[in-house]
Order: sequence, then structure tokens, then C-alpha cells
Amino acid sequence: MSLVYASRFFGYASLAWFASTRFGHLRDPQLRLQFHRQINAHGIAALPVIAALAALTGATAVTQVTALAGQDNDLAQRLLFFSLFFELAPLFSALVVVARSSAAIASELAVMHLYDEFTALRRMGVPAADYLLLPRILGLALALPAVTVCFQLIAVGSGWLAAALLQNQPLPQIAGHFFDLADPWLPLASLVKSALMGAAIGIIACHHGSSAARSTQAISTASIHAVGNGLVAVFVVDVAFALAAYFLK
Amino acid sequence: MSLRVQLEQRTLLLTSNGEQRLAIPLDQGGRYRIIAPDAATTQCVVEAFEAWPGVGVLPANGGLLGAMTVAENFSLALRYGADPLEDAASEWQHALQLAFQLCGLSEERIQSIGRERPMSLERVERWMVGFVRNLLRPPELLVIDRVFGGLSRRQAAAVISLEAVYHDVHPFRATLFVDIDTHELPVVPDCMNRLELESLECPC
Repeated sequence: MSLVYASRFFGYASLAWFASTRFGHLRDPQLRLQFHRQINAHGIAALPVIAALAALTGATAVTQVTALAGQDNDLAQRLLFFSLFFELAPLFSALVVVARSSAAIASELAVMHLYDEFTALRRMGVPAADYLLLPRILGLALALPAVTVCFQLIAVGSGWLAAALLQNQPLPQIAGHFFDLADPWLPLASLVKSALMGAAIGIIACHHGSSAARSTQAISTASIHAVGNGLVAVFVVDVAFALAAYFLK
Repeated sequence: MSLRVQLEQRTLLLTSNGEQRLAIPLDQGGRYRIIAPDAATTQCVVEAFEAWPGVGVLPANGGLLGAMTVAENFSLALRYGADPLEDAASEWQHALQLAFQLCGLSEERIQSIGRERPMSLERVERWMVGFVRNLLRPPELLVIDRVFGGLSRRQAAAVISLEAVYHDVHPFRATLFVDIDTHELPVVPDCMNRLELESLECPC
């Protein structure tokens, strides 16, 4: 069993190495087109869900804090910045992307493997790993931070509106107080965290999809492993950043 | 029985158990044929040839990607790795149109086929799309892998006449038909060599 986990981890590590050393190949127009498609499929297409989730999360967080702690503007703002902006926005965005994209990527690659399309690509003179894996991994590493920024903006906006309504304060005053609390390194750290989460989701999904056995049952197995291990990876990255923020503070 | 393919003086040599069974010169054109007793042996033969650079394999399904349209398949196969500054899109589109016309496709079908996905095409049409790709980028040896399996006599005749176009366009490029031995296997005309293999213990 431990051998399975070891080989899996080795697979992830070699795929991470592969992606980090070959991103220059995206200069090829065909690969760039594929890269743009991945950003569209896993980033832009996720925005409606992200927007709805962000609006609800921001408003709910402020409403609950106001209900629990009374009209304490400072606590609501701290919660908005530290919890929602830095912690929850990257995490929720990553969870949405895992739910939407991990299974899709893994099953698509497993189906391609089943129908011998990796060989078809090689026979066309196209390296299958460059064309199929690289744009997906790098596409997710770029799309997830972009999705996270959207989540952060919408969630903070809805939180401000909720605070303005519940605490009877003018919106500019709430916004000003938020920016007083804001530490410019934390938004940057949240984007780095999102990029790492995106890359991890892509690597895991691509590994399980491309190494699936050639059977129909293997498609669902690859999807299950991609989602499960993707979730674990997202939380591991999140905890690592939380610990780093705690010790550096 | 072990199988090996070697390249000696621009000639691919197929040997089994150290005995030479087939020689295919790479710059003299012509058709060759290998008939294998089972699918495993056929696979082994194809893989042994494919290991050599310059050998292209055209499977019965045309070797297309199902998630892409025919036009996207062509775009990927013909333009991957090409210099975008030198690669004029109109040139290869024109060549593609000519190739389809040579294969006997009507003007309307040429216009519509690009938007379709391979799964929605008939089997012979799917094979033809792969064939046209090889017509535009001819390998030194084109291995035609089990193309006749499951085809009607009329469809098999259509495939043979399409393959003749390849030799008209590229007279110095050879083709090799690899088929499984069945009782209704069509005859390939002007075949330089017909080799009937025994069952192999394929190491691959």
C-alpha cells in the first residue's frame, strides 16, 4: 500500500518537475491555443458559481458576526480581511475548481488513453505530454488566482454592503476602515497560495487521468482519485500557508 | 518467434528468428503487404516498424482525436511546431482542399466535413481524413494498419482506389498494408511483396 502512495507521490513530483521545466513550450501557437482553452474551461466558466458563492459568503459572514458580536465594526472588518480575503477566498475557489475541473480533466484524459489518442497524437508528431498535460497544469495555475481575485472582490463587496445595511454606517467609511487593516503582503500571499493550489489540482488530475488503466471502470477510478487527492492537496497547501503566516506574523 | 526491423542502406529489413522475411526500400515507392494470423502479431509488426523514424502509421480509425473537429485535427497535425511567421494558413488550407478533391470528395462535403467531429463520420471517411493528413505530410513508409477489417467489398475497393492516389502524388514513397488473415481479405493490386507471418511471441 505504501508503495502505491510512494509511486503516486513520485508521479506527482515528476509531473511538477516536467511542468516547471517546459513552460517555454507554450510559445507554440497550438499549445497556446490549448492553454487559453483550459483557462476558459477551468477559470472563466467557473465565474458564475464563484460569483454567487462569493456574494453569499461575504454577506453571510458579516451578518453572522454582527448577530454574534453586535454592531462591532472592527471585528466584522477583521473577519472580512483576514478570514475571507486571505483564508477562505483561495480555499473556496480551489474547492469549486476541484469540484468542477478535477474529475473533468482526469476523465477526459482517461477516455483519450482508452481510445489510444495519446498514440494518435504521437503519430501526428505532437508530444502528448506537452499538448495534453502542460496547458492543463499551467492553465489551472493561472486560472485559480484569477478566480480567487474575483471571489475576493465580490465577497468583500457583499460584506461591505451587508455591514452598511446592518450597522447603519456609510459605505466609504466601512471601505476606508477595511483598507486601514489591509496588509499588502496578504493579498499577494493569497494569490501565490492559489497558484500553488491550482498547479497541485492540475498535476494530480493529469497524473490520474494519464496513468489510468485502459478500461471503462478506470475512468471513474481516475476521477475519484483526482478529486479526493486534489482536495487533500488543497488543504495541505492551505495549512502550510496558514502556518507560515502564523510564524511570520 | 522474434521479430526485428532494421534499417540498412535506406532499406527497412524485417527479420524473424534471424531470417530476413521482407525488404522495403524507402525511396522506390511501391506497395507491400504483411498478413498476420492474429491481432497481437499485427500489433507487434506495426510497433516494430513504428520504432523507426520516418515511418508513419495510419490506423483503421484514421488516428484522429475525438474531442476535436476534423479542421482542428488537421490544424494540429499540420501546424504543430511550425514557425507561425513562415506558416501561411491559406497555403495549407489550399493544399488540404486539393487533397480532399483528389480523394474524390465533393465541394459541399469539403466545406462541411471540417466542422464535424470524427465520431460522427463514417468509418471510411474517418480513415480518409487520416489518409489526407499523410498525403500532405508523407512519411517515408506509410504503414496502413488493419484497414480492411469490417469493411464491405465496396468500401474496401474505395480504400484501395484512395490508396492509389497516394502513389500518384508521392511515387517514391512506399506503403505497407498490415492485415489480419481473414477469408475475405481484398487483393491489393501491384503489390511488390506479400508476406504471410506465423504467430509471434511478441515481447512488446
